[in-house]
Amino acid sequence: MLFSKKKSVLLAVADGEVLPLSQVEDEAFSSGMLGKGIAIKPSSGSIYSPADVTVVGIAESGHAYTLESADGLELLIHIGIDTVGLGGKGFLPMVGEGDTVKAGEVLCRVDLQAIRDAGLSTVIPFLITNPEITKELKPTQAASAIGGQSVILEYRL
Amino acid sequence: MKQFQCPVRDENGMHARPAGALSNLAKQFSSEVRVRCGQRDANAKRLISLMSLGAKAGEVLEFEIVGEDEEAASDAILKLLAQNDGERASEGRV
Repeated sequence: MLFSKKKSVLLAVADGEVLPLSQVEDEAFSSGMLGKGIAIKPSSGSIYSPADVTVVGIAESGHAYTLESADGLELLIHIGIDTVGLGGKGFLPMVGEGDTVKAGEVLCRVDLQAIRDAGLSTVIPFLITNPEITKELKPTQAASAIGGQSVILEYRL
Repeated sequence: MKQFQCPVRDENGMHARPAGALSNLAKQFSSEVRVRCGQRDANAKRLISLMSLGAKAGEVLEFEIVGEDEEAASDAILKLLAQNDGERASEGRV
């Protein structure tokens, strides 16, 4: 069709089990207050870029990444729940603010055990924080994903 | 134009939750809402922009609100920022 834009995709930000956002044990994420998206319970500690993006910001504590895709989506990867309180322990950013990063490139290495040892959840909410610009946003039906390879969200602008 | 300053109260700074509360509120107004912290400048309606300020606890946020509903926007944002420290962050404390 002449005017229909083709679907675009976002890749899994980590290896692991795919969860609906509503199952994240933090109301800020599960309520949809911060945006729409999906979550991954990671099985390994590499965090991948979901698309071709510019890194807008990295939390000083290394646990949260804000990204902007080439087509204008604003994305938030929040590694673990309440991990802001770890003060950076266990998080090793592999990119810097302002960097342009390709889909599937590694953003960060995380010591998942360090998060568990602190008694916190490793679940990674992955959000589109400006979902109002999408006409359609469809999460994957798959139960598990491979970071940087599996499609976890399809969208149309 | 309305201008005011306010320190960040959340002990963890302007992380996802308080930034979400502020951007959701700012989006309800047509006025432009800019926030400065140190050398950085953000559009308060964009969560990722606010988070990239990297504002820490105690640092001062400088707001500048311009538009038809700047008065109402300013009042609402000041009210959010003034919510006392005893309240949980999930209830919108910034």
